[in-house]
Amino acid sequence: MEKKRDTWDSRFIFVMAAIGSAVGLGNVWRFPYTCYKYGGGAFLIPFFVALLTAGIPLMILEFGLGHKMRAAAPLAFRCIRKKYEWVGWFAVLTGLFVMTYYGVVMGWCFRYLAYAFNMAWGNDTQDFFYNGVLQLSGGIGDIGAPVGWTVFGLFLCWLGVFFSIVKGVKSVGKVVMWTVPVPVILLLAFVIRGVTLPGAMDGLSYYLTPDLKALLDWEVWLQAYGQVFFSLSIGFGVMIAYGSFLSEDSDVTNNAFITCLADAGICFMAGFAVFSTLGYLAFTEGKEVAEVVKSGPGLAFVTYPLIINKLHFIPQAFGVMFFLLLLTLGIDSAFSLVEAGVAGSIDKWGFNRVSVNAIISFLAFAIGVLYTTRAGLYWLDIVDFYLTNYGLAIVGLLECVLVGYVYGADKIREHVNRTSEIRIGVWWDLCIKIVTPVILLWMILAKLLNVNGIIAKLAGRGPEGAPWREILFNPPYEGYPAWAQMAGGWGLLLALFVAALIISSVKSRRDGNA
Amino acid sequence: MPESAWAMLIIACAVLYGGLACCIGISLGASKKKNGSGK
Repeated sequence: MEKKRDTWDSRFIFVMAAIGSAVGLGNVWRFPYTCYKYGGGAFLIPFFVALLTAGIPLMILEFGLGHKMRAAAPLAFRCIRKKYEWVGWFAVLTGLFVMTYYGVVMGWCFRYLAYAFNMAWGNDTQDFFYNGVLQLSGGIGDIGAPVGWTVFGLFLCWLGVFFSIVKGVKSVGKVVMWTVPVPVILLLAFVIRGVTLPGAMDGLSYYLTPDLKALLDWEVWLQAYGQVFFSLSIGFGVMIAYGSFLSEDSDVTNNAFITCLADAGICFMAGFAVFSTLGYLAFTEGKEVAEVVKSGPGLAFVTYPLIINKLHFIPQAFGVMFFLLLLTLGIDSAFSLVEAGVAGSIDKWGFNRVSVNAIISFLAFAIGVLYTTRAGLYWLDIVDFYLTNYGLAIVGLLECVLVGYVYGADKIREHVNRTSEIRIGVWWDLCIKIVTPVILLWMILAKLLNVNGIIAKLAGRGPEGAPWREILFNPPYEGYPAWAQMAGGWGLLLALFVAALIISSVKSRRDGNA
Repeated sequence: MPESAWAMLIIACAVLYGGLACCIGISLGASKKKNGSGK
């Protein structure tokens, strides 16, 4: 007999879990920098357009698909057509591979949380991070041994992930009641502290002053769609799994609006925390804000410790708060990626939750040890680039095509309209069938092809005698050697695709019953 | 901060936090309606 599917204890808990999954480290270290770099305040216009035409429609699609099929991503796609089950597995495997390095970043956060109590990073925060914490080698081939304390941090992260989803939605519900409000409160504290520091207004000017000319640049629009797409945890099968645990009469559309707007609101708020303190750093060092701006791990582990050093009032407390903020932001995104895989496996084979959770956690931990080696940062950089820019975008594109054309966008629309507080119209079909897939395809091609070079060549302005390969394709990412790009990039994507095909062809308990 | 930056700040707050407040309001209204008032 089929076991009755677990459901969220309340709508509030579901929304908190979805927001927790969407909001992650990228809200703090990616959005503010992207906004500053691509037009300042003007970036918000394409960002809102992208949110309305891609982010919210895709969120409705994922919630709606899970809710209608009452299954995690693999089985949900199998319900569309049996032969498309692999798309769900590809999404889930992409998420799990993202989690293998996301756990390492959280491992660094654990280490920095301990260092924050006595600000052990000292004055040369750059040297401390790259040479002390990462013990970074000279090149990607010089792997070296795993760094012990980072492995321990990674282990702590996986322990947290394992116990957060040990009882499925029941334990997730309890965890997110802390891990969603706490970072928002901490972020608010950083905003208040930040804007009261000298130089804060200069930093905020850099963040918000609009450069309206940027709106004419296609790259800015592409970045806005990319930011929305990558920020919302779409394309990993997470939201499909979460939607599948909603009760049958639950709202879908309004929940999607709330999740997306809360994620964007936290992104915007994080910009205040980041740029006000960057303004303060520039002020104390007598530099321009543009000279101190950073994004990604450089912001969190090099620039922010430097800012904390310069605070006069209990800097240790702000250090602890900052890394606690990153950990609480990251943990719910982390376990949601694993939950998508666990839920998919349970749907297909009816495995025991604890066993499948333990196996996935152990395997992903073991793979994650690669990124704790002395060349770990290089590998993390390559894998992140290929998985997010190609893997995730391909999943999003396939989702739109399969739901929009194969299954029928109108069926999902009618399904969500039956129980939702906000009714969606034909505009949603247009977004899913035309706008979002076109943008995603454009994003993939723009990463792969040297669009400006091709246009220049076609217009007769290209460099004379340059080989066609150089004109057609973008140069290798960050100049990493070809073998590393193959292993950590294209090779990995191919391996995930093959693995998805193999897993989907394995007999499920449903096949056995048939 | 220049006036244009303040303008973007107000617009963004209105869209993001105003939009969020509206959606939460709709959900609260709907749950009140669903639960009824004992009629």
